[in-house]
Order: sequence, then structure tokens, then C-alpha cells
Amino acid sequence: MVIDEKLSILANSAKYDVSCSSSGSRAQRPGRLGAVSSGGICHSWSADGRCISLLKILQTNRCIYDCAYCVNRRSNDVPRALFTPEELAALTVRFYRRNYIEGLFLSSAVAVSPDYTMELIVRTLRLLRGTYRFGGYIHCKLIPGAAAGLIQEAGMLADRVSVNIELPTRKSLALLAPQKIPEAILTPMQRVSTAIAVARQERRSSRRAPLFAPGGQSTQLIIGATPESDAQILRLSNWLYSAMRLKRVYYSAYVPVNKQAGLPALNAPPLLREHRLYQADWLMRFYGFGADELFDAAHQNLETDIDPKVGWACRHPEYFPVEINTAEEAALLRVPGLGVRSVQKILQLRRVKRVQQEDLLKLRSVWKRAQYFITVNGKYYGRVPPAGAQALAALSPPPVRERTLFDPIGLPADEAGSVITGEL
Amino acid sequence: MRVFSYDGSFAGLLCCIERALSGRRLPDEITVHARAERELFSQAQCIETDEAAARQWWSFLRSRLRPSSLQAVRQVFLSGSPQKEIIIARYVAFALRAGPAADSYLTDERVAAAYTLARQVGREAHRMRGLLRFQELADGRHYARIRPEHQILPLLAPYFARRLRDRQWIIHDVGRQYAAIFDGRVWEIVAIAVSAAPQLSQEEQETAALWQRYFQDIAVGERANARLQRQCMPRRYWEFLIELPAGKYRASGRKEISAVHLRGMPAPRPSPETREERCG
Repeated sequence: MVIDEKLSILANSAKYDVSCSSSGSRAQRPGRLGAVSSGGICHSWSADGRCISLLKILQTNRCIYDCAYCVNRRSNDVPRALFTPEELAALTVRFYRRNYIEGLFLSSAVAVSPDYTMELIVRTLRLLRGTYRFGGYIHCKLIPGAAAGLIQEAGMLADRVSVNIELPTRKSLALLAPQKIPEAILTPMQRVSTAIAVARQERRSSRRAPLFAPGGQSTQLIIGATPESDAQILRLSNWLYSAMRLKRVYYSAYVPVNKQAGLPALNAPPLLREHRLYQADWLMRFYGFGADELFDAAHQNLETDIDPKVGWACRHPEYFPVEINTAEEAALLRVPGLGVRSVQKILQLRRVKRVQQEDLLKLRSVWKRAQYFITVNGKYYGRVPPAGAQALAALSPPPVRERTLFDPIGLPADEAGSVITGEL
Repeated sequence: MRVFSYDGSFAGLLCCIERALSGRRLPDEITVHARAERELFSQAQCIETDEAAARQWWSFLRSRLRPSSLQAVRQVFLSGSPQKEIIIARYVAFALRAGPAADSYLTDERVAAAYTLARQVGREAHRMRGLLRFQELADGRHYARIRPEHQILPLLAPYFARRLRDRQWIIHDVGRQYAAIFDGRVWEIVAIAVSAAPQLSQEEQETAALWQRYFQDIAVGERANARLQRQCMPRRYWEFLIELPAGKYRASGRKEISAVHLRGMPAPRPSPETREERCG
């Protein structure tokens, strides 16, 4: 099989993995070609609007497993291919030299056995780091069930490693991926978490100590293939961030690639839900929210029509309004309409002057939202009482009407955009 | 209206600012000589560039302003905006008066204008670090064309010198007719004239075709979102991409590689590594 057919087959098999980032690593490898950039760099954007940073590819899509949600499952009649480590390393370098990519994101279906597959992946990484002395970014999947020695070596060669949990509960896993057991996923994750901590500790005392996944560890959860609530999903994420020290949890709206009993028949992937989960994920990682705060007995799912920060704030009027000139950083971070950057700017400005309303307008904070949750020098500017049901109504999008042929008015352009970008 | 004109160099601009501040009055406009001459009734005051004085003034600024402020000044100077000189002058005057806390006055017009421009330059350089595409020439050198709004070559060259240090490469700012040239050890920025198309290596077309195919395949059809794609990757950056975002060639069919050649470039020197490692 020629190289372009393989590339096509194995890219198509890899594309449902949503992780794309090339960030988080500051590793300076003594290579000759390439380097990493700690903030990550996007090299292109594909027709679905997702960024292309790494060459996202499978080593092979031949699989011994039969997971119901997966396009590569054994029982699917699809073309199969396998990249030899030599082919894949050479292709990565060819793309890298032309600045198409920031590095390699290597995943794989499980061919023959976990060890066999992991061995192939590690050989590809060895070629890149050794023969090509490649210093660019490598994200590599760990195959659950592979030997500890192989996983250790992969961690030393890659910038970031990941094991995908895919389904958030034991029950869902048993239903849709009966050959996978939670322990086989969590064991390598736990091991990697420990190895990262150990390597970090050792590098504090010696700069020569070996690297181990300096860009940390991530995972992916599939959203909408099984009946878990948002609360269940985010509690799991919270645990992964705190106990497993993960860098990122990715949420992947389920794309119905297979038809089978037990799987929901969806018209379209639940992109809005995915977007809201990312917003809540950001609230947990950068805004000091706990997973439990975002939900209560009545709300086990995030609202779809408003973002989770507005939702939380309007359920907690006792915190608001906060005075922009005196509030602590943590309190400012909870104000809808103020992001991490606007809060930093407000704090900086406060050092030299009293903040006025026009300052907030200039700082690119979202006044439209923030006005219902703050006072500026004691003055409250909102048209309705702060942080209550009326504020919520003022911030909710107007009810969606059926569009007629001669009705050009839809959602305001900026809101329609942010609903689907998955960005905050 | 009080107008200064200068030779377009950073040193020249520093001389303008020094002159203005020693007279305790900023001009209304600072412009380059060539632009001032086009004005029919220009009364621009021509400021001579004095390298030594500029250096002295710069080290004075270094003693008074934060490194981040100086970094912002340098970055604004790379901007393509015709306002950049006066924005720098007003910002420096303000910063000298306000002291080390100057940058905390984020909403002051003079600070905000400088930082807005600096951010635009930084953002374009960051974008181009991803969107720039090298092509391999028949002689083994790597060649990339860009048409940026701002003069970002000085920001791109050190970045790529760190990454692609085992090849010779050229990054060509087609609009300004400048190029950053890396000889395997150091880079320099030189003026470049353009004539014929460069000859690509044999492998180049095949690699480009692989990338184009990959680019098509990696998109998830069910999530198609052309608007988001354009928002993240504005059309003005598509000109020299290898991949074909939807619609890139819709109007006229596949665009031919435009005729570009680099004259007056140093002949390629074989670096020790090129012989032993030719990947692909």
C-alpha cells in the first residue's frame, strides 16, 4: 500500500480524538531539529474549525477490540492499514521541516496485543528522538494493558502522554466496551502520575535527571453516547485534576459512527453540551470553582441557554454585587463577564487609580454581563436587581423563533459563534 | 501642525523623540522622509539620525523604564501602522513622567494605544509561526513566503533559527521585499529583488500532496464549521498555504505558484548535516 493511502486511512481513524494541543512542555532536548513552544502553536484549521497542531495519526487501525462507539472496532468493515515506525518517523520529519506541524500525536488501535502495539509506538518515538534527533512536540497514547517498561520508555520520549477513559462510568464501559476494564485504564494513569511527580522532584535536584512527560498527562471523555449527567462527568474530571494531576480532560461530543443497540441515535453530535462542559472545566481550573458548586439537587446538568458562570451567579445572589475597587481576586473571578485577564488588568489598574465605569468599558470586560453583578464606586448600573431571576432573564438569549423564508434575523452573530467554538 | 520626518530607522526615531522631549513639546506627527516629501506643502522638520546620540538616549530609557515597556516600544516599532512613531513618542513621554508604574495605567490613551499595536504585532508573529510554510528547493534550501501586515521578520527569524538549525532557509516578506536568510549558523535580514520562480525539489510536490490530503481527511464532516475555520485562520493568511481551505481556489481553479526568485542571495553552502540526513 502506498504512503498516501495509509495516511488517509489512519488520519480518518484518528480524527475523532479531540486533543490537539502542543502546549505545556518546556523540555529542551539536545536534538538537532525542532523545539517546543510552551504556549503551543496552531498550524492550521481544518474544515470543522478545529486547530491542527500535531500530525494526529494512528500507528494502525487494526483492532482486536470491539468497542461499540469506535470507528475502528473489529467488526467494522473498513480498510485497515499500519504504518511502520520508519515510515511514520520519516513522514513526521518531512511535515515538520515544512512547518506544517508542531510535532506528532501518535495513537493506535490495539493490533495483536497491547504490548505489540505499544512496542510499535515506542519504536517510532525512538527513531524520532534518536535517529532524527527530533526535539519537537510528541504526544503519545499509552495502550492500556501494555508492559510497565514500555510505558516508562514512552513517557521518557514523549512530551505528553494520555490514556483515554472514553466512558465516564464502569456501567457504561461494561455496556459499550466490554473488553476494557476500568482498572486497565486507571493503572497506567496512576503510574504515569507517580512517574511525572518523581521525575519533577529529581529534576529539582539535578538538571541532568531524565525527563518524564514534561507536558503532563491528559485524557478524553466521550459525551452523549451514554446517559451520564454533566454533574457525574465534571465530578470525574475534578477527581482527575486533583488526584491524578491531569493537565487536561478533553470532552468529545459523540459522533455516531456506528449503528447499534445501546447507542443513542443522534441527528448531530451534542456540540453545545460539549461547549458548556468546556466552560465548566475552565471554571474549575482557572476560576476557583468546585465541581459540586456548579450543581445542586435540582440541577444535575448545565443549562444550555446560558453559560455556567451566569447560571451559578444567578442562583447565588448572596455573593453579589461585588465592589470592583475593593473585592478580592477570588470574588472578581466569579463575576460573569470578567475573565482571568480582565481581572488581572483590574487589579493592576487598582494599584494606581480608582477604577471607573469607563475603565471597565476600555478593558474589554463584557459589561453587558458584568453590570448585573458589580458596583463601581458604590454605584450599581444594572436595570434590574443584581444576580437574580430578572438578571438571568436579561442575560438569556431571546426564545428561538421558527425562521421563515423572509425573516433574516437569527441569533446575534457573536453568540451564534461562541456557542460552537468550544472556546471561551 | 508640527511634523518631524526621519530616515525610518529605530535610531532615527529615538533622535526624533529626544529632540521633541528636550523641546518639551511633542510633534503632531512623525513620518519618514519619503512620505514627508510627497506632501505638497509639507513643512516637516527633517531630523538627522545620530547613531551615537540614539544609543545614549536608549540607555537612558533603559535606566528609567521597565524592560517590559522597552519591549513594547520595540514591538510597536515593527508595526505597519503609519501612526506607530507618534504612538511611541507619546507613550515614552508618558512613561518617563509616570515612572515605573506607567504600564499600570492600562486605560490611559497613550498606554492603551501602544499596547494595542504591540499586541497586534505579537499576535501576527505568533500566527505566522504556525501558518508559515517552507518549501524545499532543488538545492536543498527551504524557502517560505509571507505577506504580513507588520514587519515581523525580526520576530520570526530567531524562532526558526532555533527550530530548523540544520538547514539553510529563507523567509521572504514578499510585500516589503525583505528576507531573513539563515546560513546554518546565523540569520540576517536583507533587501531582496524578485524575478523568476524558484525550482522546487523533487520531493516537494509529493509532500505537499500528502499534506493536502491529510488536511482534508482530518476534518470531521459532522462537525463542519467553515465560519469558525475562517475566524481562526483569516483569509489574508491563505495566500501561501500549502493546504486548501474550502474555497481557496474556487474562483480561478488551482492557482499557479507565482513567479518569485531571489536574486543576490548567497549561494548555498553544503552544511555537514545535509549529506548524512535527508529524510523522506
